[in-house]
Amino acid sequence: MSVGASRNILSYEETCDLFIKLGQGDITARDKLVSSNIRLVWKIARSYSNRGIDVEDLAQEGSMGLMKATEKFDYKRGFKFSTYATWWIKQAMGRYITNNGPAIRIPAHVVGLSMRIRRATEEFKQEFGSEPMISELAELVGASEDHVKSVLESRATEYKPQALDTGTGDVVSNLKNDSGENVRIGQTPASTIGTPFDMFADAELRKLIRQVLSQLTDREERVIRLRFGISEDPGNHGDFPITEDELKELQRRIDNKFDGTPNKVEESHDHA
Amino acid sequence: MTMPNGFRTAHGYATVSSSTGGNDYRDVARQMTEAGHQMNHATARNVLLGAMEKFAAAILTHYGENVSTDVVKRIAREPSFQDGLGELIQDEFLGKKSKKD
Repeated sequence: MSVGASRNILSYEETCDLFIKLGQGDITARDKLVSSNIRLVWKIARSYSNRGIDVEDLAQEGSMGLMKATEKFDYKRGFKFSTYATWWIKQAMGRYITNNGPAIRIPAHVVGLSMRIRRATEEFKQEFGSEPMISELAELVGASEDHVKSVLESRATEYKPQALDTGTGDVVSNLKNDSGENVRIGQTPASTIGTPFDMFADAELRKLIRQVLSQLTDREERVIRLRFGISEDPGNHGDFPITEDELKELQRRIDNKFDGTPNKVEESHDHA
Repeated sequence: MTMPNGFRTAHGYATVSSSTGGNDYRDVARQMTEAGHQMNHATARNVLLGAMEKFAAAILTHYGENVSTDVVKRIAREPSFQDGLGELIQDEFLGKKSKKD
C-alpha cells in the first residue's frame, strides 16, 4: 500500500458533499474519503511503530478502521471527519497489536520508563557525544540502577521470547557500567555470529579504513590519535607528535640558544 | 525532558567512552597546542568530525549507500560510529588486533 502522499486534503464542505453522495449509495465517494485520509492512517501507524509490529501491517489495519469510520460518521453533527476517524483508526490498530503483539504483557509503568530511558539516552548522546552509563541514566530518569538495567535487558530482546536452543552469543549494549565495561543485556541466536561473509566484509572494511587513513591530513591524524588514545611509538619519528621539519626547527633553535655555551662552561671549569 | 541543572557541569564535556582510553576534546586541544597546532576544544572537535566525515563518506560509497552531505554529517557525529571506527583505527595504527577482539 502506498502512503498516498499525493492526495489532496478535503475541505469540510467537500467532505460533507462526499458523505451526502455516500448516503445516496455512491461507492466512489467512500473510496475518495478513504484515499484522502490515508495519510492520517500512516501518521498514526508510525506513532505505534515501536510496539514490535510492522508499520505496513498497522497501516493496513488502520485502513480498515478508516473504512469503518466512513460508515459510522454523521456529518450533520458538525465535527471534522478526521477527528472522528482518528479514534476508529486507533481502535483498529490497538486491537491488532493486542492480538498480534508481543507474547509477554509489559506493564504500563515499564513501557513508560522504557520510553523515558530512550529519550534520556538520545538527549545525553546529543549533549555529551557518548552513551550514558547506567548510573547516569538512573539519575536522569529518576529510577534505581537495577530497575533501569532490567528495562534495558527486556528491551534488548524486543520483548520476544527466544527458543531454548538458540542462544550462544551475548548481546552487549553500548551502555557502560560504573567500571567502564559494556553491559551484557541478553543473548543472540547463533545464526547472527561471525559467518565467513562477515569476516570478508570485515577485511574489506579494514582495507577501506587504511586507504582513508592515508588520505588524512597530519593534523587530523594527530587529533584522531589523541581522541582515541592511540599511543605513539617513541622510537619512530614518523609517529611522533611533531613532524621531521618541526624537529629540525626545534634542533636549530636549541643550537642557536646554546651557541658557544659549552666553551664558556669549559672555561669556567678551567678557572675553578 | 531536559538535562537537570548542573548535570553538564558534573559530567563534563563530551568525554569518550572509557573502553578506548582516549582524551576529551579539551585535552586533545591542549596537547595539539603544545605540539604547535594552536586550537581550542571546538576546533579539535571540528577537526575530528572532518576526519570522521571522510571515513563515513568512504564507507557509504563502498556499500553503495546514499552519500548526501546531511547523511555523512549525521553518521560522522554518531557516537557509536565514532567508537566503532576508533577501535578499527586503533587496530590499524597499532598493527595488531585490539584486546577486545
